[in-house]
Parts: sequence; C-alpha cells; structure tokens
Amino acid sequence: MLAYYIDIAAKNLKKSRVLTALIIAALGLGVGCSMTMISVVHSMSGDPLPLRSAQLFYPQLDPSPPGFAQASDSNPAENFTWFDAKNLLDAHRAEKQAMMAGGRVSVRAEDGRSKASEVRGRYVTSEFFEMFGSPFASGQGWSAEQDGNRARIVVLNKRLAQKVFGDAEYVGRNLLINETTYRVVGILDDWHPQPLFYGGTGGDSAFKNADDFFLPLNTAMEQKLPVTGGMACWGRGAADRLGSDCAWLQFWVQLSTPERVAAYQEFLANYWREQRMSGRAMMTEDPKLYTLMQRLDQLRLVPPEVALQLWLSLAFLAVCIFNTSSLMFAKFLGRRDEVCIRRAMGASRTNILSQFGIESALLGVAGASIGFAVALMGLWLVKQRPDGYAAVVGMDTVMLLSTITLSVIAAMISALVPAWRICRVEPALQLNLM
Amino acid sequence: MHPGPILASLSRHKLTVAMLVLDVMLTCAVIANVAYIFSLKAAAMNQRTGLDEAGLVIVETEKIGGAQDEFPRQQENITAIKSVPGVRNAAALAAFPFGNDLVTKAGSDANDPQGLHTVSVSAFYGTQGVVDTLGLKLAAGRDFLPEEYVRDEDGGSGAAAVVVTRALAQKLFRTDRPVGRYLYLDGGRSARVVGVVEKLLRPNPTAARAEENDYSIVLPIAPKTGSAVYAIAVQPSADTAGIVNACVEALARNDRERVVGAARTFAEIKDDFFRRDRVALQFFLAAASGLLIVTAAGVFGLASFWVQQRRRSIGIRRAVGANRKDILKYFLAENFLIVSLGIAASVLVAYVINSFAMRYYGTGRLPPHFLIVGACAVWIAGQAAALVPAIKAAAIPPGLAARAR
Repeated sequence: MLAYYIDIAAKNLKKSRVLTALIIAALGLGVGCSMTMISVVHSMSGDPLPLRSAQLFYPQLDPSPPGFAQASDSNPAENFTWFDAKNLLDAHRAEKQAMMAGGRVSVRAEDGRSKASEVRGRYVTSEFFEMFGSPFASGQGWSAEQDGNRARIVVLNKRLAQKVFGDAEYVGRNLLINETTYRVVGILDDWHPQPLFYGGTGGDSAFKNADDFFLPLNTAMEQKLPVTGGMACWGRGAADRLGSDCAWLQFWVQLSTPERVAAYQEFLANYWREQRMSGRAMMTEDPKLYTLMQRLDQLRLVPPEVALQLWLSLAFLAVCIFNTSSLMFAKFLGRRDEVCIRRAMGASRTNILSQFGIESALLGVAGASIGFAVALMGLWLVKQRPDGYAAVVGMDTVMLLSTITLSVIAAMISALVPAWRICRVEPALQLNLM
Repeated sequence: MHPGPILASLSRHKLTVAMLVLDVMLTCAVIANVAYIFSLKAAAMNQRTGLDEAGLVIVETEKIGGAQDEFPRQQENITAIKSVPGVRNAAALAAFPFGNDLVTKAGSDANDPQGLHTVSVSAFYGTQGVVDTLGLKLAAGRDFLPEEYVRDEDGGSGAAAVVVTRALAQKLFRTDRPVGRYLYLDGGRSARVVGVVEKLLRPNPTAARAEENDYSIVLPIAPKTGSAVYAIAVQPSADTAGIVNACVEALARNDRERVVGAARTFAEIKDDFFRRDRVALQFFLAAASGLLIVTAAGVFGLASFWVQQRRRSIGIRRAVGANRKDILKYFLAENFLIVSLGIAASVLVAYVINSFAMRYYGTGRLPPHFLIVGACAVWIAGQAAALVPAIKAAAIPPGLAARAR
C-alpha cells in the first residue's frame, strides 16, 4: 500500500512542474537558511576535548562578600582568588589539578635575529599539560619543583617557535620574554582546542586566539608579567593579585570516576565550611563542580548577534512554510477531480490524507537537497566573516540528517491545511459537476 | 474597476487572505528597514575624511621594555622613515580616522568664559608636518610654525596653537574665519586658532549625529610614545607596498624595543573598519531578498489556487460578455488590493523593527520614503507573481461554464 502511495506521489510531482519546483525551492530556501545558523551554533557548541571532557571539572566558589555579585557585571564565582586556588592546588585531592591565567607578552630570540612580536599565552602550573593531554612535538613540560623555584622556562606552540627561531632545533634555546631570558623546554604540536575552554573569557575571543606560549605561573608573578582577562576585586586596599580579595584565576581538576567526583565535592564543601568559620565574609552559597561542557555553557560562547541571526533565520523558515502552504493549496486543489473519484470509489478520508502526507514528505526530501546546497553556501559566507568562530563552522553528519528531518517536517506542516481542505471534498457533488 | 465584487469574493477566503496580508506586511516592513540601513551604511562607507587617502599609510607600533626620554627616539624614527625613497612626508600621531580616538571637550572664548557650553571634539596630536602628511586642505589661516610644536608631557601640555575644522569653527565661533580667536580645552588649557581645515572626520563617526562627525582639532603636540602611530605620505604612482616594507624595516632597525603592530594603507584601514558592517549588511540584504522571493512564490501559489477554484465563474463571466482583458484586470486588481492592505499594515511593523534598529544598530528614525521603497518592491513583485495565473484565467474559454453544467 505504502509503495503504491509513493508511486502515485512520484507521478504527481511530475505534474504541474512549475508549482512543484516552486514548493521545493521555497522549502529549500527556508530550510537552508535556518540550517546555516543552526550549524553555526552547533559547531560553536562542540566538545573541544572529546576524549577527556568527561573527566575534567571546573570547581566554583563564590569568594565575594554578600551583595558584590549583584552589583557587578561579572560573576566573581567564575574565577578564583590566588588564596583559594593555591589552597586547592596544594591540597592535591584530585588526580590532576592546575591553576592558570592568560597573559600577553613580547618575545624575540636572544640572538637578536628576529623582530620582537606581541603574543598571547598562559601562565600555568605544572600538571596543566598532562591533565589536558596537550600533545608535545618535542621536549616536555615542567615539574612541581620548577613551579616552586620560579624557573625561567617556557613551553611554546610550534607556530610561534617557527616564527621566532626559524626551522631549527627549538628545545634548549633561549627566548627573550619582555626582555628577560627564558629557556625553551618543550614544543607543543600546534595545540589549539576550540573553543579555548580553559580560559576565563567567553564570547568570540574563545575561538580566535590559540595560546602561543605557556610558562610557570609563579615565575610570571615574580616577573610581574602582564595578565589578561577580567579581574573582580572587593577588598578595601589596593588590588592585590596574590591575596584573597581578587578573583582572576582559573582552576581545573581531573576526576576519572564518579566516586572521586563525589569525594572531591565533599572535600570542596568541607574546605568552604572551614573558610567560612575562619571568618572570611562570604556568600553562603555552596561550592559547585561543573563539567567541562557545563562550564562552556557558562562562558556564553555564542555571541548575541549570532543568536539573533538564528532567531531571524527560524522566523524566515516560518514565512517560507506559510508560502509553501499557499503553493500546496494550488497544487492539491488542482487534483480535486481525482480526489472525488477516489472518494466515490470508496477511499476514506484517511486514505486521501496519507496520500497527500506521503506526497508532501517526498517534496520535503527534495527540498532538503536544495536546503543542503543553500546551507553549504551560507556556511561558506559565514566562513568569510572576520570573527573567530568563522574558523570552526562546518557541516557534519548530524547536521545533514537534521536538514532532511527539518525539511520533511516543514513540508508536512505546510501541507496540513491544504490536505485537510481537500479531504472535505464531497464525493457526489464533485462527480456531478464533471 | 469597482472593488465591490473583489471584496465580496475575497471575504470567502478570510484565512488565506489574512495570511497573505501578514506576509506582505512583514516583507514590506523588512525591506523598508533594510533599504534604510543600507543607505546609512553606504553613506558611512563613502563619506569623505578630509585626508589625502590615496597616498596615506598608517603604521601602528607598540613600545616594549621601559626606557625614558623617548621623544628624541621618536624624531629619529621619523627621520628614518623620511629617508626611505618615495616617502613624501611623515609624522607621529596619537589618533587617526577609523582608528584610535582621543576625545576632549572644547569651548570658545566668545560665548562663555566659564566653559558651560562645550562640545565634545576629537583631538589629533601630531609632530611637525602633520597637516601636510595627512593631506588636510587649509581653508583659512596657516599651518603650524616649527616653534609651535611641543611635547605631550605628564601633567598637561600647553600647545599654544590649534587648527580647527570648518564645521567646528561654525559651531563654536559662528564664523568661517575664527583665526586669532581662542579655543578652551579640558583642564583649563587654551590655544589660539591659527588655521581652519575644510574637513577632518572624527575617528569613530556615528550616523545618528552626523553633524558632529566633523568636530575635530589638530594640535601641534608630539604624542606620548608608548603606542605611537606613524602616518606616512607616499608619493603618487609609487610602489606603495615596497615603500611600506622599507619603512617598517627602517623602524625596526632604528628602534629595537618597538613592535610594529600593523602597517596598512588607508584604504585597508577603511576596509577593516567597515568589515563587520559589511557582514551585517550582507545578512540583511539576503534576508530581504529571500523574503521578497518567497512572498512572490506564495502570491503565485494563492493566485493559481483561486484561478482554479473559479474556473466556472470565470467561464460564466466570459459567457455573459466579459472579455479577456476584464478577467486579467480583475485578478491583477485583486492582487493589488491584497498587497496594498499588507502595505498599509506594514507601516506600524516597520516602525517597530526600526525601534529595535535604533536601539541595537544606532540608526535614526526611519524616514517615510523608505516605506515607499518597500511598498514599490512588494507591489512589483506581487503583480509579477500574479501575472501568469491571471493570463491563464483570461485564457479560460466562455464555453467552460456551459460544459460544466
């Protein structure tokens, strides 16, 4: 029966070709535009470390006094104070843990051959590389002792190493960072997780800049290297980075089993209770432990203009569905005679409805192919944008299947009213008029 | 043609007519707004800056490491750049159009010594030769004299001379020839007006207050050297890219503790400044044309549907004496009526969309003539879409009615 319906539907699509083509084009245009923006948002919500993200957690403590968070634009609980991050790091209750902050410095080779350039990177503690699985091309990270010694060492991403030293052996060379000498101990194999989940900055910048260098956080503090990213302070005195009144660091932990997650949560709660008892004026809110993907949600990586464009494209799809509906009116009503003959010969309304349902589903599939082409073109246009997220957008299998599904659903919705209308055709009356 | 019969027959299709009217309403309102935003952005991208844009190159630099007394080094850098063959003139700046801005307040000696009626202006600091390097056209007065140039020191810098734009002269002094008058600046500074330039666009022009986009002053002050900007005027019909490279090399040789951030021709700077606008514009244009196309398809569909439904009545009308032209006119008039209803309703929607654009894109109130642009677009699209079904209707033979009975 189904095969017969499909057969008839395919035959009918070939009739009134102009209408069929217009229906497919209108559906395709609407589906293509909305799939473009859905794909953009989908790509931006991707997992930066698919193999590890389930084990990585971002704790959150709100260290600010009551009322501070409401009064400021930033959420101080999103970042750590030096005091808390250092305590958690030294407690060493997770398998791996690291504290970090962004930085921007100028670098040049010590031998003076290259010009100085401004680069972005991160000040981190020793377990950073192992915890995130950063791939080393040569050399390695550093030890906890070197953290403590404030060693002047640096790990470079390959891109920067090539730019500064040219094509040669990099490990062991000396680099001038803000006019102070550092020894290169490791080279990362162009590591660029997108979005840059571990930094504190949300929005488009999380897609734009890879970190070009990594050096010990203690060293950066000792050398007073410039820190990037926001800082919220609530103390009365001058802003002290190394105290407990300014939140500006990020702190990540690795916990591989649910038991360890529960244990760490317990540890955090205890730590926070102690801090409260010791008299720090703090919010009473309990500490939280977010997964990597939850942390990404918090960073609000989708810029407002992209969100607006998504809503506009969905509104456009709605307009397309309505206009497709009016085209389907024309197409279906052209077959009034056929319907009333079938009704007179005993076809039920359900039979007629399923016939038109299958026909519109076929139209939907045809529309999906146009929609896919339009979406590819739209994504190409988005890729030309000057924004950082342009680099990550693309089509994948999930989006291809969604295109087909969305198109078929859109076709069925637009067929709803026309099909209902034609089912009300009275068999006898129409027959009479032929 | 009398609208009575058309209205009577449309009243039998209330749902479809209402949806089509809504559709036209939305399309017309969106097209009007997009046309308005397009005209604003096109005007912004093509506005004159007052500079000699063709031969202007801007090099942005950043100081690394700390050293004192950088002004001699700045002079050396300028001398090094000027020594590159093909460079006509060069100067160090703090602000430049479509780049860094330095906003201050200015008042005139005439209307209020207390400085109550000040306006916000953009100050362009520059070293010797700044007016010539930027290619500004003097309308009155003279350029700065060599002894008028001073340094931007901490704790206030006292430039004694200033060059203002014609628009600012009009605003503050109500004359085109304010030479010799005094301009009061932030921090109790005052400077004597020595010259008037035709035009100098502020670094961040806004469409909403276009009349203030030209409130600029040039001060003969060598800017602080942390992040210095070097403006370079190259000779016409020269190898610009080669000269830019040579200048960057000369800078790097002369000043090792300085990072060259970007070296761009003025055309490139303009291009970068408007890149985000162009992306937004591209999206809006695509949305407007998509809406128009899809609405036209919808009109075509409904018109075809109605023609099919009324085959018999068309046949009867033909049989009782209506000619083809009458039928054609009937369907086109019907379409015109529906589209016009949509246009009437779109006025309100257009201003709702406009209020969002005013809030988020800094546009002004939508001028009414853009509604006419939207109306014409949907009228033309509607008539074109209804034409084929109307011709088909006109081709229905009079005999059809008789046969159908």
